[in-house]
Order: sequence, then structure tokens, then C-alpha cells
Amino acid sequence: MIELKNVSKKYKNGVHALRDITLTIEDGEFVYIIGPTGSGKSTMIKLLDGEEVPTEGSVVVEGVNVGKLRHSKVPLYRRNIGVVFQDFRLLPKLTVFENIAFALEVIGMSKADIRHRVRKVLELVSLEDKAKSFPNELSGGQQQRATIGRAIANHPKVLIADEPTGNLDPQMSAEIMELLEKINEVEKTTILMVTHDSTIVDRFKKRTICLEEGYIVGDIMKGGYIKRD
Amino acid sequence: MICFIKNLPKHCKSAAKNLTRYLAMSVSCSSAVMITLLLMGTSMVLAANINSFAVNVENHLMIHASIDSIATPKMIKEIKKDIEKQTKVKSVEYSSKDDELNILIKESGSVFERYREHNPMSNVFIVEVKQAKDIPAITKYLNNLKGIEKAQYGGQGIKDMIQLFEVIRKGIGIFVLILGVLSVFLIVNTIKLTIQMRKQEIVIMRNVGATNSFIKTPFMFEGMLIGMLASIVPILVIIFGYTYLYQYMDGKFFSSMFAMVYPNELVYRISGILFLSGMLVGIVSSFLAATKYLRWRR
Repeated sequence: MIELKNVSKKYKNGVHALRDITLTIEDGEFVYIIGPTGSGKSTMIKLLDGEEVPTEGSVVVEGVNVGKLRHSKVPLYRRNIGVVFQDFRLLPKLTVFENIAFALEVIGMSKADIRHRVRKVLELVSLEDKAKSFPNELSGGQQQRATIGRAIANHPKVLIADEPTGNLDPQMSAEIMELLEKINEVEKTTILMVTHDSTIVDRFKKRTICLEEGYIVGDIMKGGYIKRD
Repeated sequence: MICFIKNLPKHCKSAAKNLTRYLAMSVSCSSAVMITLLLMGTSMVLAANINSFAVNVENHLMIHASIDSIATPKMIKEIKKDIEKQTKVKSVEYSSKDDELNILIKESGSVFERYREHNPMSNVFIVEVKQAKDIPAITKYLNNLKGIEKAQYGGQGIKDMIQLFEVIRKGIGIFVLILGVLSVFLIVNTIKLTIQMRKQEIVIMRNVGATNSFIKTPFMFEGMLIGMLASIVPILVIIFGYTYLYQYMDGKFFSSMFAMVYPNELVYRISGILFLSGMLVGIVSSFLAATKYLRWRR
């Protein structure tokens, strides 16, 4: 479960990115976070993955108070959180298999277990035949699937996706969405997806939280893109 | 800790992989270290030889102390005991005036035979000191000693030479130290560049939950490998170069007083030092570079 209580974040340069946010996301939920540029979406992700500390309030993810986390414990906490970025961020010199295995090596999993798990993940993200390819040999959609595979490899309870379809065409975006839905169902992973893409939000209807100027201006359980004039 | 040990082979492997992956960086880094290590090794060979020259010269340094002609054998014995009590004195030998004349005749020819009847020499003590730098002090002490007529040693020239050796030895020591620090800076900068190139890699490692030590260890292994590889050429140069030089110079530097150090033990000792310092410099500098870049605040 993710719980934000009266969270505010003000950066040193005076920018007030989030203001008094209170939000609860249950286990296994699939949630969109939408809003214009500068509405605080990125800051919310940074607070959730421990990159930033809230100025006020508390961010609790799976019982861990992220803001109060000791510096040295942040990497350990992150092992419970998978993050997917718009720009993929795969290691260019590693194959798809190695890229996914990398996340598991970091947590000290044994070689045999890593092989087993990576094969399973490759199957889940439909990249079995691309295991030995390098990122630059893949299409954008395949790269994003590899990134998602890496993010879910160590069974994170929460998957944060920061505009995962931002660099993809509509067809590939739809593929990625289907994959995320599959992960949400199969792995029971809570998914938090930041997006600009109104087509996707309207087509794959989920709980939608709308941010504007640091405030939550809408939280619709039945989903759909919120347009404010 | 267990995780760290478990991951060691993997870290080694990834360090070796990265060496070849970022080959240009590795080569530039290791050639910088190689040159410093080469300079270091040469200076060490030089220092060892100068040291050996100094020791050689020092061993030949003795003080001649003439004994008053009125001194009785009993007095002579007492004076000898007094001198021997000095902690800086290595040995005291008594040489009678007849012995001295014999030495003079032997060294300078039979023309001095005519002095047999009226020997003008005096009885002397030949005093050897433990360290060359104590010679002036002991000479002064002997000159003030009752029963000693005059004490003297090789003179200002020898004293200057010994001082020069001392200065050179210290100079080389400082030079080697400066080279060591310099090479740390060189590698720190090169590894910083490498890390800059791999910043994205580090960001990703962080994202998937790698601890700082997990990120840092391969860099340190890499630095160690670079240092070790960089030490190979200097080691070979020292081993073969110095052995050749020794044979070419016939084991001495123009005069037998400046005997060169026998290569066998020396070159292996210096090689060992170069290898270890290459390794150490590599580890320390990559640690410094990685720590600087991985410092992270929220």
C-alpha cells in the first residue's frame, strides 16, 4: 500500500512542486497520474523512489516511511520498487538478458536462480527471442519491454512507470499497456503510471489522479482523461 | 559482507570486462601510471646505488688519533677504554709508531727506511665510527681528550661528499613520494572521466537498488588491474635494464669505491615495490574518484 499524508515538497530554488497531497493506493491497484508539465508528477515519483525527501508530511510505501529512510538504506528500499522511464535507460553494452539479470545480481541472487527468473521474465515481456540482442538492435517498444522486464525482475511490490509510452507510436503504446495490465494481473504488482497520453487513459480505463500546480484536482475511480477548460 | 565476498568473482570479471570495453580510457590511464612507475623505479635504483656508494665510502672512513709521545702504555690502555666507551664508536685499534712507519714504507717506498733509526711517527689509535655523520663530532671529542695529540680524518672533501650523498638520497626519497602522489592524481582524474562516461550506468545501478559499495567495488578492481598492468613494463625495464647496465659497467661506477649494487636481489625488491605501489595507487585513486562521484544527498 502507498500512503501519502499531507505531503508538500518545496525545492531549494523556491519551486513548490507538491502541496498538501493526501492519497492512498491499495495493493494491486493500477493508477494513472496525469497532469500538465510542472504539475508535480515527477516530484511525486522522486518522493516514492526515495530520490527526494518531502518538506512536510509522510510518504509510506509498503510500511516504509521513505522520507525518514536512512541514506544507506535507500538502495535496499529501492529493491521493492521497480521504475520504468520514458528513455528506457538500458545499459547499452549489455544484452537484454544481461540487462534484466543485472537487477538480480545487485540483490545477490544465485546464478541459477537468476537464469531461471530472467527466462520467466523474458517470456512475460515476450522477448524470448531477443535475449542475446543489444539494446541498439531493438525497436523502441522492445526496449521498453526490456526495461519493464528489468523493473519487475525481482518481484517489486510497486512498479512506477514514468511516461513509459512517451517515446512510442500508438500501436507500440498499446502493446506496452497490455503488458503492464498483464503484469498487474499475473504478478499482482501495484502500478503507478505517469502519462500525458489521453488516448491511452481513455482506452485502458483505470483509476486516474490528476495533478495541477502541485494539488490533486481530480481522482476518478472509473477512469478516463480529465479535461479542464 | 557475505554478499560482498560472494560477489567478488563477479566484480573481478566485470572489472576485466570494463577494462576492454573502455580500452582507450584504460590505456591512457595505465600509460600515465606506467611512466610514473618507470620514473619511480629508476629513482629507486639510483637511490639504492647512491646508498651503496655512501656505505662504501663510509666504511673507509677512519679517524687517525696520534697519541702523546709521553703517554705510558698504561695511559694508552686507559685512553683506548675511554674511546671505546663512546656509543658512536665502532672500533678502536692501536697501532704503534713502528707499525705506522712500516705502513708508510709499504705505501710510499723504501726511501723512508732511513727513518728507522729515529722514527718520527707517533703511536696512533685508528678509530672507526658507526655512522659517517658522526665523524666530525668524534674527531672533536678525540682532540679534546687528554693524551691525544691530534685527531684527524679524510678532510672536508670526504665530508662534503657524504653530505652530498645524504642530500641526494633524501632528494630521491622526496621525488619518489611526489611521483606517488602525482600518479594518484593522474589516475583519479582519468577514472573520474571514465565514471563521467558511465554516469548513466551508475544511475541505472542505483535505480535497481545497488548499494554504493556494490557500485564502487568494480571500479576499485578496475583501478587495481590498471595499476598492475601499468607496472609490468617498468618492472621489465628495471630487471633487464639494470642487469644489463651492471654487466656493461662491470659492476662498478668508474671506480671500485663506487661499487654498484648486485642486481639480483635489488631488481626483484624494486619490482615488488613497483607492483604493489601500482596496485595500491590504482585502488586508492579509483576509490577516491568513485567516492567523489557517488556522494549523493537527498
